[in-house]
Amino acid sequence: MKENKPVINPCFWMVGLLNRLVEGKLGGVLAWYTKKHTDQCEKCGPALKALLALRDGLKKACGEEAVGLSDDRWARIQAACDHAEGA
Amino acid sequence: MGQTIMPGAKESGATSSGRKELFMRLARENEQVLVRVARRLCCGNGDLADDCVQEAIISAYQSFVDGKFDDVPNFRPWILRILTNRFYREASKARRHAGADDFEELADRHVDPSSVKNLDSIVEQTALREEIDHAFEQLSPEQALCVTLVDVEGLEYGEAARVLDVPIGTVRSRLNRARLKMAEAITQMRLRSNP
Repeated sequence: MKENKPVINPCFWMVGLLNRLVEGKLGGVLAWYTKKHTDQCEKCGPALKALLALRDGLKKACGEEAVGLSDDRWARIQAACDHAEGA
Repeated sequence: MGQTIMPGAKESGATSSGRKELFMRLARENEQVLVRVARRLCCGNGDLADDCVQEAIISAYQSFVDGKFDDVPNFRPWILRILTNRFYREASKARRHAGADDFEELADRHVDPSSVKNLDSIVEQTALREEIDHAFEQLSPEQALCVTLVDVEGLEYGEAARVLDVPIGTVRSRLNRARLKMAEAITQMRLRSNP
């Protein structure tokens, strides 16, 4: 049962600030306040750490994936576009 | 992506072949983003995702050459919106045929384990990947799409809002909730493997 208890449970008024800090979009006094709070808060500290790890993990696991359509697909797209133009 | 080229292509008097060339260049530039987003929508089913991308590009081309779309700097959100609309339309058709109760159940049916394996072999099967996939499974399709657009593909909130046709505030709140859910899922997973 202990497992089901949420471990990432930041103070509700900090959720937006934490997200903006992770995005690097928080500056000035708000950034200072958020960092100060997370240093001292036993709920927001781990939440910030987990959000930062998630941000890096997402980039590493998905963002660098080299994917694309096959040449055959592109040929079909090209043919469909040519056909649409002729119509 | 360098999409600051030829704003207002129609006004500049671009010829039909010029517009076609421009469209193909923009489509190629956005190919990887389109395929990654489609694969996330299709739960890793590569063939289905590629079908969606192919159809979206063809449909976008028709609008583009007809001059219905001229905002070249916003090509990426525009074509992503065509892709997501197409996916949801097809999914809803399939749901009516299959009688599935919810969208996630439908998406699960699209998963072809061999395609997931192939995909993973491209990226390398890592613990991180498993954690991220597990975390994505906890999200609603709308939340997963938001995270993919903003956190994986790097779209601005405004661009994501245009793709999803929702206000920026909705994108922000979906992201806030989705990230916390994902962080929770990953932390729980780590706690289970290292109690």
